[in-house]
Amino acid sequence: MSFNIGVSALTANQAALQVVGHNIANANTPGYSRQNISLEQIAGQRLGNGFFGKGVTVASVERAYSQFLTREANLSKAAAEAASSRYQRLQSLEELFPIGETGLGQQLNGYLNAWADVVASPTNQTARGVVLTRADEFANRLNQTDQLLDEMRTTTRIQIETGIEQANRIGKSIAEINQRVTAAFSTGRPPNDLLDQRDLLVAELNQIMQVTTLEMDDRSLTVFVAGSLPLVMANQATSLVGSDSIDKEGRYTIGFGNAQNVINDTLMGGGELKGTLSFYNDDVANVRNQLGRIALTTIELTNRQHHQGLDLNGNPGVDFFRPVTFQNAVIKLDQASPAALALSVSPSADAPTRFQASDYAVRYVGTDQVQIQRLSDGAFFDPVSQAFASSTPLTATFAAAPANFIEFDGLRLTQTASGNANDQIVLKPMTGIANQVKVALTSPSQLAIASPVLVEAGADNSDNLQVESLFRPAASPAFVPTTISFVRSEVPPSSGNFFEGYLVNGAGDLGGTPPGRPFPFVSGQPIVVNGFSLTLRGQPAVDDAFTVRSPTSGESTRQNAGNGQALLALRDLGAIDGYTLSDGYIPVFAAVSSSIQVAKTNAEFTNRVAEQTESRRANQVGVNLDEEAARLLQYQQAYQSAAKYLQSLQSNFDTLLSAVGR
Amino acid sequence: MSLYRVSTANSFDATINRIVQRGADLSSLQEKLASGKRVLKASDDPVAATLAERESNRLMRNEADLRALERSRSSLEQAESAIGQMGDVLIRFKELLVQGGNPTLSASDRRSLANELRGLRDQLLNLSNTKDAEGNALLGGLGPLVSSGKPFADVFPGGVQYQALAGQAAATEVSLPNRVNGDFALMRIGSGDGLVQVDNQSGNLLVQSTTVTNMTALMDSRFFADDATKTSLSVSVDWDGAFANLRIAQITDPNGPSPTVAPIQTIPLGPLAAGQTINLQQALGSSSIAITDQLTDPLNPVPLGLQLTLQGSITAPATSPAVLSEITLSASEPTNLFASLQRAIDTLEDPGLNSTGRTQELGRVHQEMQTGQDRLLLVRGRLGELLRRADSIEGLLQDRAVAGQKALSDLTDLDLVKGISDFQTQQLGQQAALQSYAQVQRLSLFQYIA
Repeated sequence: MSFNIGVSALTANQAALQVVGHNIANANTPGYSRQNISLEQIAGQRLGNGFFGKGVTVASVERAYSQFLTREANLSKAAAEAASSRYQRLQSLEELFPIGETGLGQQLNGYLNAWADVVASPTNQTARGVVLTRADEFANRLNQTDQLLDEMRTTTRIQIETGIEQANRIGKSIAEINQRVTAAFSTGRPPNDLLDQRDLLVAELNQIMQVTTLEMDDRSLTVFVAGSLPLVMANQATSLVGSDSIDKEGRYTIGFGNAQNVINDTLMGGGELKGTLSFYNDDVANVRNQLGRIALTTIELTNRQHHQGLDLNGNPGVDFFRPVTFQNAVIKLDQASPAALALSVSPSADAPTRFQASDYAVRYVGTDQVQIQRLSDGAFFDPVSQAFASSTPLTATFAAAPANFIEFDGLRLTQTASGNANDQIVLKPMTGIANQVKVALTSPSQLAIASPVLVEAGADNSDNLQVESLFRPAASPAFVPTTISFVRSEVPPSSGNFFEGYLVNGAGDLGGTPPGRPFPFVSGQPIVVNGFSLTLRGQPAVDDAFTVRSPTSGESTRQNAGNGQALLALRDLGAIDGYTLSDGYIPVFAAVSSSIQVAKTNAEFTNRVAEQTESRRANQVGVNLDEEAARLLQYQQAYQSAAKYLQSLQSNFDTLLSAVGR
Repeated sequence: MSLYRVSTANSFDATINRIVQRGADLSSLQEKLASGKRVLKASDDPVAATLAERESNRLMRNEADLRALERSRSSLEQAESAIGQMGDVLIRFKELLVQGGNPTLSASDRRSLANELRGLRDQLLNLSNTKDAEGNALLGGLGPLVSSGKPFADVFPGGVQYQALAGQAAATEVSLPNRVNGDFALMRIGSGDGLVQVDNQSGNLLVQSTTVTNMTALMDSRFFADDATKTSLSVSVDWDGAFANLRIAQITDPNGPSPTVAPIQTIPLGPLAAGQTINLQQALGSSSIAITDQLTDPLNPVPLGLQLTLQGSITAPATSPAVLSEITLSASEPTNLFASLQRAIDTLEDPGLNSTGRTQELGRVHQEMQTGQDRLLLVRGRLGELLRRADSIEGLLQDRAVAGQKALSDLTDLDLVKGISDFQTQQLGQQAALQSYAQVQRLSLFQYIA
């Protein structure tokens, strides 16, 4: 009897030591939960004078586990992963948009300011060549940046797809473990290490995509994504499917089970997938659009003005930059749709200053009727005001050819074949523009610096009125030879009211008061009339006259820099959301840097929270080696005592034997 | 029980994370110290980065503007020097003109003078076509119209013509023109004294000067008017064998096919016998006469507002009657300096011209050259003003550059004192963290067992 007590103490304490050893061994194993041994006395036996204990036995080995802390740690880890994966991607995005001397802004300004030297020396081939070189540098920089963005997009996409694959793999593993856990529990004892493994998988899954879990009665774990979609149920796992071709806004989507069953990404609480997905869908796309806009604005403004000039040989200016095409900008979500739409730049004069860095969603509501939504701010196109001014969908109608187009934000959308109701089309006008920028001119002589209209002061001019600039503005009406003459005239005749100002080809301002009075003159303010813009400076005198005419054949315009001045003046044109063209780079990198700041703060905060919750969880369930050392001593002493007890039993026995023996 | 528990592995992880984080901070601070910049990436301080980018755009533009300004300044300086030399040429020309008026010179003397004058005229033409190093004509106005880029061309017939756009390019806040208006400088002077042009038709009558006393009256006489209605005046001395008279007539449409002549004033000069000479000033009793229309309406004489100072000795020939001398007065016409110089050369080379005619012509050229010199001085003054403005614009641009550099530095540069102090604080913190980590992690119960 006593012997049995000693043996039970020995085995129980040895088992306890084994658990301590297991704990020490797994002190650094990820996901390991410290195990506790529960000892239990063996019920006593009544022996006349009372109950006598029969020793000790191991009741169970249980792991320390807190469902609440584990869940909290998992969720905060998911949020942190989402924030830091986006932050990391944004950091590499920012490297593409440096500031200062290495920035795109420097290249843009180098190009815009190069015109100043040509204006100062119109026949200087070197100055002309420098314009081409600078423009080329700017174009190359845009091309490179766009290509790098494209690569970054591809990398991110691979990252997303890998994430989806991992999530699917983990889902399957959890389903398998579920089966084994259910089987193990049926024996009545908790399979601690299997449970640890399952918890670790859930934690890993959370890093990729935030999930919620529910333990069922059979101890299998049901795993939900995006709130309520069961990714794992008992021993069944459902796959996630990625796709970039079914969303009406052209975003990359993750489907549950199949691509069509899109998971709403606002419901995806966290995880690396959420971070990379929003980087892919929002950040890269946004920056690419911004880059495309600055490229398109520069190309259009330069080309349009360049067309208004004459080159060194007196020929009209040709395209400075190669014109862009919108080949891949129209994406039909439903390939069977008969609709045929094409994008182009609107020919209207203010088109180049109205571009927006946005994609557009077009939805057919009738044969030729569409609703257009600008995706950057969600506003709908209002066909009456011709602007994106409505917060509810409004219907615009394509007229019959040749007016079969709708114009918005400096673009023209032409319909060559009607669509059916509910056909959806995504327009991505700015994507890929930056990659198309290329200087079309090959020779410095081709720079159209000279103005095709000339101004000559009249023979009687006082010479106090001086000519600041004369050029043909882009998209201006046909030129009419004009004489601007300064007069003091009585309007109406013999009324006694005299007005001073200028007449255009002998005619006064019919809209003035009184009608027909001379136009008032403001020094330094351009006179824009009859297809030219003339700026005069100084004090006019009566009888001063300026004749604006085309050069006659044989007249050379080599020394004229009128159009060059107009091209140089583009740098001050408020072309990009109120920014001048020369400051056009600022909104691009400002967009990146401010989202990076937000992402950084977010990542730091969520990481700190995740660290703290993980600490709390780990402190509860992790191994403390000092504790294990103490337990080691404790059980070791108990074991030694049990052994001593056995030894004393032995010596008792020996004493008894020697007493009764012989 | 778990209130004070610490998981060993987690505490290792957390501490190591923190130390790594500190190391990263330290290294980023070190990078900033090394480059001297506080803002290396836009995300370091988006607002400062935006402002700095703007500032550096402005600096680049300033640089380009300064370059263009230097270019214009050098052109203007060359133009100024060319115009100065033109003035010198005109002074020499005038000296020779005075010499040429000397009645004692022989025809061949005058011819050699004319040759020298021709040389000076060519020199003036060359100066007026001066170009800068870029081939930009300095007197090109709003731009030459011929491919040679030369604004002045000597064309026959017609004389020198301005083959550029007349007009002056304006200076702006930050730039200057690099050409002046050659048309204004050389091509737009009035003939004669700028109001009245005197032509000697015959004889010794010499108009020493003309004075406009009443411009309104002269305008009313249609002296200054368009071609078909324009009037000019003819002043002649005639002789009927016994008496000489000074007759003044108004000629309507003098350049037309059939000018009409209407006598307006007759002043008797007294008796004159054949072969006898009268001095005009003595005969008139005064040096100047006021032209008045007395004959159209004898009861209401109308003064024309023009006064003449006449001079000359007139000798009656053997036969009568005869017109002894005639001059015409007409409104000044636009001409140019080159035409005027050519006129002097032609006058000196004309063998048929009498000495009075020559004096009259050379006097006229003299007057025109005076206008021309004044005009050149005006242009030179304007150039001086532009060059002064170049200095002021340059000062402005350079101030802006300095201010821009300072703003840029304020926005993005690291305050080194603060940077170093931060760095040392961080370094100390890092050291303390490492040391305490090493010591704390050595504490383990296992150290004391066994």
